[in-house]
Amino acid sequence: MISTEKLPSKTLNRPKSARPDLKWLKDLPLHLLLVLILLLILLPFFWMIGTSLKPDRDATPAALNNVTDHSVGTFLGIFVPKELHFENYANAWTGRYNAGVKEVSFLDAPFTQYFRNSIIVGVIETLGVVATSTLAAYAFARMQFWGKNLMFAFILATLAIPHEANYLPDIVIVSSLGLSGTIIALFLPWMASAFYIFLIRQFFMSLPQELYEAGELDGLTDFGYLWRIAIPLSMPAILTVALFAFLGNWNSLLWPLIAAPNVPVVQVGLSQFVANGDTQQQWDLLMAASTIVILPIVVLYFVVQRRFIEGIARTGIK
Amino acid sequence: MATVQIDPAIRPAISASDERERQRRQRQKMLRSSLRAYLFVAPALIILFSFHFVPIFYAFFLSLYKRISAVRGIVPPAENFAGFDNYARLITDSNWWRSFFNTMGYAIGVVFFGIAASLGVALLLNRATKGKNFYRTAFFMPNVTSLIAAGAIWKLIFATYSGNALTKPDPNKPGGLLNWVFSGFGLPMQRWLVDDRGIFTVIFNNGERVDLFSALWRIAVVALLIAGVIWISRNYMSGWAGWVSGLILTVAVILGWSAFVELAHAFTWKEAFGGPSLAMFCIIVIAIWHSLGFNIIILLAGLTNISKDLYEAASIDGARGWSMFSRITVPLLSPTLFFLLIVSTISAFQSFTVVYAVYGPGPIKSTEVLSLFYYITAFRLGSGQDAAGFGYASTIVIFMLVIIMSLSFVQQRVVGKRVNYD
Repeated sequence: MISTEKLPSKTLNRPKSARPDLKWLKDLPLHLLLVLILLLILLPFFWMIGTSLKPDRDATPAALNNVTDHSVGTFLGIFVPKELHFENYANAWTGRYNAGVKEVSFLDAPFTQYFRNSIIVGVIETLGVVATSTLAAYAFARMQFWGKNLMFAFILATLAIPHEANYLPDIVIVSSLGLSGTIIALFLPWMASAFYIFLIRQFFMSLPQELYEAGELDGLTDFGYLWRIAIPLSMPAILTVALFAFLGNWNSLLWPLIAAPNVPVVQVGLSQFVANGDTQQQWDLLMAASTIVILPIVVLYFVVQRRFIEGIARTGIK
Repeated sequence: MATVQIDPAIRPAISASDERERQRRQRQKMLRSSLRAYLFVAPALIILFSFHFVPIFYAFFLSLYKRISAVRGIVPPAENFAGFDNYARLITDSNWWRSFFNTMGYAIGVVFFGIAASLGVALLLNRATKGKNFYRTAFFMPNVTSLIAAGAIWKLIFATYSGNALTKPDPNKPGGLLNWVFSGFGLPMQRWLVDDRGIFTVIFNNGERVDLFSALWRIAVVALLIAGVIWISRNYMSGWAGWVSGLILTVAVILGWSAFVELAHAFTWKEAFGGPSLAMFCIIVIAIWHSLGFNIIILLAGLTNISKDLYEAASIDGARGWSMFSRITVPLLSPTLFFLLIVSTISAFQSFTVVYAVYGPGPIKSTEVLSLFYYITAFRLGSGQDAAGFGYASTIVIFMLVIIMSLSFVQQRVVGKRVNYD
């Protein structure tokens, strides 16, 4: 296991300082550099939020033509909206990018639809993939059965197949099942994942054998053991898998785009918003829509960031 | 489940019928546990089998047909059987080759510069004693945002005033944020996302007057070369000999570089020689920005794993910054670097969203990558004679699969043993 605990401070080839109070000063240039890089990385987000609150005439690229003074102060200034237009968010949510679009209630608004579809698909897919992966992982970790090695080799083989290669034949399969264009088509093919089975199996195998034997003595069935002991103890791994499944679903574009464009999920909806000729001029609305799409996942990310980052550091999940 | 080994000497003698009875009971037990286990693995296996495994062979089957679409059922009509026509079409299709080379340019840019940039940040982060977790979290933020939203933001940053590839940018009308900054520094503004010209064409300007932008590029290249020369001479020679030979080498490199630039002016950087286009360069920037956090986390985990004792021992032996980096950090980090290399290459070959986010279904020529070409072939090619291009698109899928699977194979062979997943 890759250790993620914090390392002792860097003491290499530096003489021990006689004045330990000033030690943080040594790190100051390093931190300044890191913060500078960080600001550069996060700059697109500042630009997005700033633009989303600007009035339309300030949000278009043409607005910068009038800013002829090129000092650092003006540079920072163009990030800050002069007037705050929070109604941009409401207009983006309801798709009112020009006067010709008729007013709709909140429940009928395009983004309500996108969010509803995305949440339904995301929750079902996440629950499904966690359920199938946990069950299969348990069988591969603890149970004896004929063909176990063969089946596991098969799962490892599917690990190497990129999703992109599956899309086209899957479309044919889904449409021959009569599911094309339905919401079921969006999650059905992704209800199982070789990688997640592999991950959870590794976690189950690391549970002590004595626990299993104790459970067997107490008359627990396999399912009972899985439900009462293995799952509660493996909650970190299972939650990580669930998080990545949900995030992957929220950000997926190509499959929803080709499998069911008539059931727009968030990314498909946003990409239609981008492609829409009318909104090309309305960058404030587009940025507001982007913020709306990014925000839930960023909030989720900050709530569980530890688990996220450790999950990646340990498994190389992407 | 632990089997108890009984010493044969004290094991009671078993008759043949007992033995058979025991085997029968064991088989029955195995059957029961197998049936139960099959219930456990069935849901996952059925889905993996029918939506992930079979489709690969089905894609190959489809690639033998032409003019087929999803609505015509699982088995295409026999009169549409085309044999290997689609494969012949593929290797003679200049559009396919263009998108193949576009993808190669994209992959090289994303993998090389992406890993280099994240290695730099990871090394800095590894030195920080405090706030490592905060930086890690913050650097990872672009990675969780959707590329569609990120693409829209970057589109606004890279925007040009005219937004038209044919109109030369007006120095008084910067358009996007980046052009505004450029004009502030007195640099010529670029047409970023709509510029189809190769990056070398832009840098060398094809013998035209050298503008500041390409001059900056050249200075960066010269600086890199000099840094490389100094590094090499410091590593292989010590004392003043290193500095003198470094100086001589530097002069040689600058002379060589100027000769190269003169030659480059004589040469027209057209088509494939122009390198990835400026537009593709912008796409690469977006992709690197998006994947930076992931690379940093993986590299940081690798760096954390390197024992501090090694550095201490090396510093006692008189090793300094660079030699420590090249003799300890890089060799010990190499499994991690190789893992990243393969993973980024695979995802570069699959990348679709980053281009779609910026251009929608109609990219400019030089940014059409394989996945997008495949998407356009399968779902967008209007009502030509090949209205439903599923057969041809399947051929593209098979080729992508071969590329990606062989990369995965290399990964499993070379690093599979060295990267542990638990």
